[in-house]
Amino acid sequence: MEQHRSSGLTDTFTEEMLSSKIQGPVYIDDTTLRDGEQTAGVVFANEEKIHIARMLARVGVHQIEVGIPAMGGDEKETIKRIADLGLPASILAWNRAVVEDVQKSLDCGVDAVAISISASDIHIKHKLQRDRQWVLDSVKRATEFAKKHGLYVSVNAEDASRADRQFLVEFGLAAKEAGADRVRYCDTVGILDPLETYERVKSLVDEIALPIEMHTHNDFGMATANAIAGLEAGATYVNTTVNGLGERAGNAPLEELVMALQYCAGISLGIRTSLFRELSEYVALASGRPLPAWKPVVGGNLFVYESEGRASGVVRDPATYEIFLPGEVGLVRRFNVGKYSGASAVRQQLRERGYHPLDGEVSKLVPVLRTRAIELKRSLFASEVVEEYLALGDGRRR
Amino acid sequence: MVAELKIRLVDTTLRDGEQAVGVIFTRWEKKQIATLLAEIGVPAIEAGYPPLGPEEQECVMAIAEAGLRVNGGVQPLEVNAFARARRDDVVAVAACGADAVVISISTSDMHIERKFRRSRQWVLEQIQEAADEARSLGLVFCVSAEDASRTDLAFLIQYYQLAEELGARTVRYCDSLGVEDPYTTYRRVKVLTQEIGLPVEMHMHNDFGMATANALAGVRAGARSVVSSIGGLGERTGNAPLEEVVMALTHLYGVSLDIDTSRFREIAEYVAGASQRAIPIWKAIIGTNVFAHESGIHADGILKNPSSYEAFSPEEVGLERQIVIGKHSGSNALVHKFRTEFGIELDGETANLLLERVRSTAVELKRPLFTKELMFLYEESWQGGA
Repeated sequence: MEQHRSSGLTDTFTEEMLSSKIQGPVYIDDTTLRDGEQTAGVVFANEEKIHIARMLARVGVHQIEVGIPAMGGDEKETIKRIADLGLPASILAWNRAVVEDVQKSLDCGVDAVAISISASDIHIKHKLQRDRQWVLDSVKRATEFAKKHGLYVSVNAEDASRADRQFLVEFGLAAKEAGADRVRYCDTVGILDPLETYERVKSLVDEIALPIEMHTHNDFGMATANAIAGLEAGATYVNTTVNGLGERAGNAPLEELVMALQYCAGISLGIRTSLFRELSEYVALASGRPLPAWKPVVGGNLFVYESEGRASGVVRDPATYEIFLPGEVGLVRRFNVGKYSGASAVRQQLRERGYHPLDGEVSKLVPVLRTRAIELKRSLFASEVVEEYLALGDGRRR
Repeated sequence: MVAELKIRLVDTTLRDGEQAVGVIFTRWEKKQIATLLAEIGVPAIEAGYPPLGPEEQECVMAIAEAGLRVNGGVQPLEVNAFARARRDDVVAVAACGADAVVISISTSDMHIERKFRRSRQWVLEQIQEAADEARSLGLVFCVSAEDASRTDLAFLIQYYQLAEELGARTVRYCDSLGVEDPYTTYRRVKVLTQEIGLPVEMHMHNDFGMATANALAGVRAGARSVVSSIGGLGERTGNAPLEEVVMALTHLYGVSLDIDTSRFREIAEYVAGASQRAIPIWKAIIGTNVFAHESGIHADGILKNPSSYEAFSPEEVGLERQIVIGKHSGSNALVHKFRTEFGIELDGETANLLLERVRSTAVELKRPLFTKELMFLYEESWQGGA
């Protein structure tokens, strides 16, 4: 296997890294409609693409990456329709670093383009079967063409995380010289960790002095952490998708990124997070990929309390186990009775149904309900809890 | 240096994993999962939480009595069980025949004041009592700090130092609410590993999607043990997934854990069935879509050289590579598919025309095409068929 990194586990985080704070502002460029749809097996209907674009604009993302005009047909038509909606967000179309592709984006009436080409030798040699100079020439040609036509240009360095670092600087400077507005740093194979991301992005920010955008993948489960590390290092744009939809293990999820920025880094982006659950449900359905109950930020189980340790804390004060309130992301708090439940969840569930059990009754009920949950191999419905409680009062149970 | 590094895994699928809302394993399933974990080389597990009652005690007992061996070798699987910092909980663990006990109590002022309505001193007394009990029963013990990430660092050091005096083997750092980012984790764990003589163990949750990154940040800071669960099963958004931690340590840091990763998919499927939580097809490392390539650019790159878009090969985790033909496919993938699957050589023009039909059909059907459908489209257009 190829060695992806120069550093091993023994590297340390530098003081600078540890004390770095995201300066802001941070802009979100959501790519649900492009990288999200590119996922194997996912196809959005044209009307769905338009609806998702509207929802993203309502949520308040700054830029929407809508698709690939060069694909022609339905894709091009739909992009044109989205560009015509006059949404309060920049509309960006994705292109290979080819003038004809950019022309097709122009035909669609978008205001921004991504011009993408691989920057790593492994891609240049095996996939493109060209050389570095050809890559730089392609970037220059396509970027100059786009700028001549007044487009905002993001030059994407595909596979940047495996690119030679010196060449990546050259690549960024070539893009800058050709008039690019920003450079997108793509961890295409998802092999970075936050330390490595920070180091690499930091040096790029310093050397090319152009806004940098983070595009991270989740192959080792670190897409969100890496995107944030890039922002800490000075990147100002971040490419997200709803639910993290995207190639293979997906991209940095919009909802995780926004909430992590707010609650881990203290940066508020002014996004209407209360619409997150609704947006996530829509994209889940349209992509045919059900939302797992345990999905960070928007999963249906996040504010369901079953085990006694947590339920007892939340009953006393939600802040014991909640960093943000469920309503902030469009969810609700619930109590469930299952194998790990104790008095708190049982009492809470009965109260919600209008019953006021005595402490002695609750302590009799708990083992009965635990046994029942184990027998059934699932949590209990509230009505089952009520039934057991009433049976207790009837003297049907000892 | 890297080669000397030993990272110990403790799998908690059977404890924190089962604590996920709605998940209950039967005794038999618990034993199967423990067996699978031992077979692939996981050295230690948390088998359950005996204070819950007789059923759970029997589960833990059955696993402890099974005499499971790591990697089919001589080393026995270490069976841990979970206890609150109370004498009766520790006694319940010992009664199950577990090898070790994880003694846990919250250490954050938030929990101490608002959940327990007690003081820091009370917490220290609780841990002292539970540790005394464990020692007198001859149990190896780990002292765990629940909500460690929101705990005052000076108090956390005091707590862990007490654990050291009391004879703990390890101390556990829990990001119970999953609120840390990797830099914060690194900074805090670094201080702890400098102040504490015992190995620090990371127990991280995924609330903001950073469990794996945080667990690894802890390891970089000097932690020497990681708590994981299969597929990340656990409370709310779950824990750091075993498969992600192992593959990241191996492929990103070159740390060998001696785990048979080729059985990850198989084990994850078992746990998915038993927990009734399907593995999302996009789940990092083990999702079936992780090695499925559709878009023209990616499929083309993969066909020329798999490492263009793959950090490791699918066989390493028990998966297979697939080239999916759909809306985003390019002509190279189509040519390849026809050559390898049907023995038909498409010329450039035919491939481009067929690609247009493939794309419009995929948009209409709102899904990629089956292999058979590709042949139908081909026959309709070029054989005068259908």
